Amino acid sequence: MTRAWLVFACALALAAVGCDASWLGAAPADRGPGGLKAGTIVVARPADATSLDPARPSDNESSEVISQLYDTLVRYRPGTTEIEPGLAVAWEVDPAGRSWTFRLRPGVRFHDGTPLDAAAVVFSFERQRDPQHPYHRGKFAYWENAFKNIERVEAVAPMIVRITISDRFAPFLAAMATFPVSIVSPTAVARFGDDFGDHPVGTGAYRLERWTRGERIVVVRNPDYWGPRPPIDRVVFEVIPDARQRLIALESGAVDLALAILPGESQFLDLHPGLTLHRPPANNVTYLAMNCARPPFDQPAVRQALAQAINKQAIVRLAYQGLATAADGPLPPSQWGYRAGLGAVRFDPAAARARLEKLAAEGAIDLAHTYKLYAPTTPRPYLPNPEQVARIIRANLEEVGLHVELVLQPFAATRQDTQAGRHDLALAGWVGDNGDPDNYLYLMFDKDNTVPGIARNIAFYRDDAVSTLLRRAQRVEDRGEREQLYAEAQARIAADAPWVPLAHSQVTVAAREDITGVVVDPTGHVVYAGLKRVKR
Amino acid sequence: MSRPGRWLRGLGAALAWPVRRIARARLRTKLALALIVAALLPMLVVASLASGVVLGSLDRGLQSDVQRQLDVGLNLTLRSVERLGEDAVRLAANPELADAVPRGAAPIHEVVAQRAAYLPSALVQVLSRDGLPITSEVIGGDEARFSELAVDGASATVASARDWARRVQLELSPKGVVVRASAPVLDRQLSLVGVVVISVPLDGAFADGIKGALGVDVLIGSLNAGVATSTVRDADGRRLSALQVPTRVLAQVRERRHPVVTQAIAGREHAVAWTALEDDRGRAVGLFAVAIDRRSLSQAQRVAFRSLAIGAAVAVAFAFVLAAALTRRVGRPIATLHRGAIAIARGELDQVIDVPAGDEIGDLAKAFTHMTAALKENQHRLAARMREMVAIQDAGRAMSSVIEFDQVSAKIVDAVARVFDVRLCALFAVTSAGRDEPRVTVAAARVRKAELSSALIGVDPADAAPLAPIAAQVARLRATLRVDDVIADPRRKDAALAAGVDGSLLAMPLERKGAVVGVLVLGRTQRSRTFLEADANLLATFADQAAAAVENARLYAQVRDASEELEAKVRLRTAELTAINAELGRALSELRDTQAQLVLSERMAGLGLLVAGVAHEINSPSAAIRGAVEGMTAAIGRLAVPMHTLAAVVPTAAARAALFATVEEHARRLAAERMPTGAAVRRAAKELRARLVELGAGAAPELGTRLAEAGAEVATVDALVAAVPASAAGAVLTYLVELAEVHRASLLIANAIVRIQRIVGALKTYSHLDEEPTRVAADVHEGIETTLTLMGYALRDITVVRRFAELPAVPIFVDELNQVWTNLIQNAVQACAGRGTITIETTGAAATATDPAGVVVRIIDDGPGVPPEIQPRIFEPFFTTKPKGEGTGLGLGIVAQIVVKHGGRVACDSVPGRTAFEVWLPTVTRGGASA
Repeated sequence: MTRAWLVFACALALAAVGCDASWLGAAPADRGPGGLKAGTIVVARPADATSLDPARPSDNESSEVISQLYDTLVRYRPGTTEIEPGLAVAWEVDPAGRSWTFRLRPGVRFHDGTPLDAAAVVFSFERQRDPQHPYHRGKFAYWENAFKNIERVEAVAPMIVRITISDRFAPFLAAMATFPVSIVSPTAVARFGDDFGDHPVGTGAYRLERWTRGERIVVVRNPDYWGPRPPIDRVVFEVIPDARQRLIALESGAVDLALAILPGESQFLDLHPGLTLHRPPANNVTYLAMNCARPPFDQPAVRQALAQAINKQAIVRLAYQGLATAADGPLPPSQWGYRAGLGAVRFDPAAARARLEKLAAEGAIDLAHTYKLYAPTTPRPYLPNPEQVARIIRANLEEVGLHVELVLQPFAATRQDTQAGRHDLALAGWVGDNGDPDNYLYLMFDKDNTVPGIARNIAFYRDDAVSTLLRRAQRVEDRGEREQLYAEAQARIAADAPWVPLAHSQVTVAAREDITGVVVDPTGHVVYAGLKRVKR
Repeated sequence: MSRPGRWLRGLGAALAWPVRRIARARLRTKLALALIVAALLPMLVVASLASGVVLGSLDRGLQSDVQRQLDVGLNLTLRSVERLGEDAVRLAANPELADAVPRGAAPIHEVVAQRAAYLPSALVQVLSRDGLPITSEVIGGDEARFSELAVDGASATVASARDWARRVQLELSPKGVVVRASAPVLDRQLSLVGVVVISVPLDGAFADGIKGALGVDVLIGSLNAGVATSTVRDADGRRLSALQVPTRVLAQVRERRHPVVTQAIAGREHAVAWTALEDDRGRAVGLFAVAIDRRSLSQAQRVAFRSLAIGAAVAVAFAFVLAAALTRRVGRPIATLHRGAIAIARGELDQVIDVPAGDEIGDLAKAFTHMTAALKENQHRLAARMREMVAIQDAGRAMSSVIEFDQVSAKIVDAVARVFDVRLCALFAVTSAGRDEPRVTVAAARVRKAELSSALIGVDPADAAPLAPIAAQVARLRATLRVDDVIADPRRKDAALAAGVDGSLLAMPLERKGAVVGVLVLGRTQRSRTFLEADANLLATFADQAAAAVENARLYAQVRDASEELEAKVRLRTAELTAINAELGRALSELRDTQAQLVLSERMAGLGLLVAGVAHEINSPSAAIRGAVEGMTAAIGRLAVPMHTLAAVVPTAAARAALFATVEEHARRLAAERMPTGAAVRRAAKELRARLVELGAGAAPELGTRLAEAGAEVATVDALVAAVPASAAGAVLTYLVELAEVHRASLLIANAIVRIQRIVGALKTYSHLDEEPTRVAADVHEGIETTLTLMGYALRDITVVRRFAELPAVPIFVDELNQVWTNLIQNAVQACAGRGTITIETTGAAATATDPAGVVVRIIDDGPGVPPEIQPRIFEPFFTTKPKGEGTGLGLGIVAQIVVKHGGRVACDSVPGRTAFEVWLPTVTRGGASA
């Protein structure tokens, strides 16, 4: 007995000597940069969200978070514009193309435990559509532009919803995948009322944990999510307005992902072995809008002269550092419906100057007047360095004899002013929402969208022929025919030149090397549910 | 077997020796060892645990520190790189530079000089918008550092700047990795006027800058070259600039890992963390590393190990002291006990172990003393029994020394009487101890007469006869009988008393293989003690041996009788055999004679063949000689007429001699030449005849024909005719023709004689008629050639191919070996039925493990071959495939015999179309002497 104890004690002592005594004084290994847990990813963005109620905001920062918190009836297969089942597992449309019936995914619950049913879907649509709805609140950002053709949304069975639209509408299914028609929890909307935007409740892969306005939004993995379990537990959206500071944070390891990288910084990222720059194809456009509702820009001749004066190559090379292509029309080359060469205008400052002087002599334009060019100071995904672009445009226009004053304001203010039509010229851009050309052309060139205050068509371009073409394209299902209609519309728009299309910017997402699975969806958002942290 | 199982077994085997060694050690050593282990083990465990933890965390701390420093250093480096890009952009964006560029180098120099204060040490190049260099300025004045760094207009850096792009890039240059920043110079109208390129090498000076900010040493290098420059300086203050990077590190860096290694730099251990420097396409171009001196860690390690060693030494010393004190107290009584035990073991049973202690050891000593006493008593008892055993043993040996039954019986009785102190001892022989009543007879007996003290005397066996019924009873019952007092036993009393026994009685059957062969009866007088159980047991031990001896003696008697009978039979049979043997001997010698006869006849048959060939060979030349002699005689007869004519027309003797000499010369020449034939003769004859007519020689036309047949030309005719008067022209020509014929005949005869001589010479060589049959070193080829010559006639339609190698001389009996060649070649000739090819091959054979060096002769024919089923038998004498009477079947037998006599071998390898007989002969005779 005694002997057995002795042997045991010796064995114990030897084992203790033999093993690495790492339980003493070793740092926990499962920690990412900045002391955060490995399951957390921190994303640095230039601005905070404005609201997390999907019905309200139209800005990119909000929609990015909303996409994590909510699901839509259908969704894009990650990285593509293909539609796949979301909260609806099946759907059908009647022969007239007006009545869409969706069967809902069973067993899904909102973050607050409310079960998903047809009533919840009806609620999510009707509170935006029906002015009599108890939770209808004034004007919703997108409804008027994109969904106003919806006539009726009804529950035909507990898990079946029918949506009736006014006329056949080809981009309908693609529109159903966009964030404004995310399905919200009716109980949560009832509970929080106007504050729902601060207390979002959806069915998404992540739910909101904390939102410190102006600083950060923290979302955590939804343990009851119906889809595949995301590898990352928690995503922190950190607001770092200074692009340089975002990069420094990335470099130091304080953040894992940095969005809206300045083109000038891409060199540093390219050279840094620990950081990776992801550049998915562009799905956006940057443009100079000329306010067709204000003289002298109501005259196509003036607009055409201006189009000749802008050196797009200089903008692409100097402001985008090559991370963009010069635009010759509103649609990016990766968007179906794009036709090369429809709006190509040769840069010819001498000809532009001659035309303007002639127009001035005719009294069509007053060259002594100073015109206002509105531009945001906040970088946008399509416009990483807006101020510099604005300065190059001013230099180009001064060169041909047009005096320009820059009105530089934060993005929200600029948008408000331009939607109200206070500008002569405006530097703006658009990120495609749903992979359909309608999302660009109808929103930004149809006279429907020139309502001051909520205008998307900030050139206030009103052309009946173009509107007719665009609306016909909405009713045709055949893609070839639609392409033809869009080509005609683009040709007319190019001739009238309400815009000077400037560039299609590449989205740049910088990530630390241990983050993999960086995929960007057509709206320019990272698919966070696909991210993974690997050990290097 | 599983891996841990094997491992454990290995460990067991490794530990077995020390464990055995310790097991054999003295108790005192074991105690000391146990104390040392008890003192040392816990100390070692605690100390290594503590130092492991401390050193491990220090090491990990250093590792993570160097990794962190690497991150920071890399960021600092890339920030510097980026700043250079910003410097380039700022310089390019300077409106004064845009104004200066079109104006040339001097204005640019001014602008750059103004900006120099804001620029790092670098090479600044300004190129025109077409990429043509305008000027390059070195900021900081260190021209050497920036030499060879300039870019030309064709480089990618300049091209991208001309394309309005700003760019910072890491590039490989002859001086290592270089940072190049480029920016376009634009004028106020945003049109390109030129390009600014700033280049800085990532060299030691650059690394110094990083070290200044970082605080630890920095290494920068090129990945391809695998060398790095560093901020480390040696004792003389020289920079260590060509550090070889370990290959392993290079490989890991290429895989984009960040290895941390311990590396000696300037003779000191450093923890070095490495990473790659990439260009903007992610290609690794350079190496970057930070190094932290491990000196403090090593010192800590040394201190830890030193304290551990001192602690261990103190513990061991303490354990020794303790062991010494303890073993003195505990060890002494044990040692006493130990000594006593060893003495007892040696047999000193009088040894007294005196241990005064009252503890367990004292008890042990007492127990030892008791044990010794008991041991002593037992030993005495054992010795007595031993003596009896020895006596029995001796008796047994004595019995086995004799074999005659009477002697054996007497020995048995003697031995028993000697061992057991008895009045009478008798051995009864038992016969037919089966189903029938056994018959017992006294075989031997000893009786001690009381008056003659202890001496034993032999007595008449009849003295024991009265005991026979008792013996018979014992033999029947096959059981030992022991009677303590015969007087008290009425059944046996009378018999016993008659034999003089009045005390106790012991009778024991002697059994062998289940049968009773005898009975031993022992009797004592009343004065002696009665027989005990032990006596019966001892006797039983002896009885087995005695039974065996009795049985053996009986068997011996039987065998002896049987062998005498056998001997008689053998003598008879031997006489018969001798007669038969003599007859056989005669038959054998007859057989030998017959065999010799046969061998001779075979040899004669060969000789007959040979003689036929020789006769043919000699016949043709003798026929030729006969013909030539006839022709010559006729020609000599015909010579007289022209000689006379010529003698008549040529007056002087000198002229005659000259003429005859000339004709003689022509005749010899014509005779030596080949005789023309056929058409040539006809053509020449026609020509000569015409010439003769022309010359008016008046000769008959047949002279022309004969001249032509003799091979004479027109020129010869002309010459001879010119030498004599016209009347003698015919004579001189006739003379020439005849003389030529004589000469030709004489040449023919000479040739024929040469041929005959050759044949005779060959015959002589073949049979060595002129030599003794001794072994001589000879050329094997010579014998083969001779044989071939002699067999020329038989070989006339056969192609003989010789493939002879260079061979050494072989010690042979020449004529016997020629017999071998003759037989084999003859065999081959017969095999290919007189027409075909016979190949004779000879080769040398090197010595092998079993054979000495030798030569090999192969005689190969292309006949139908030897059928495989008879191949093994062909060398047997009298084996033949020929019809009866055609061959003796001894040819190949003789070959084999002769070859074996030469110490060689013959073998046959046959397939249809190729039969080879291979003869191998050693070049060394069996005696070992080289021939």
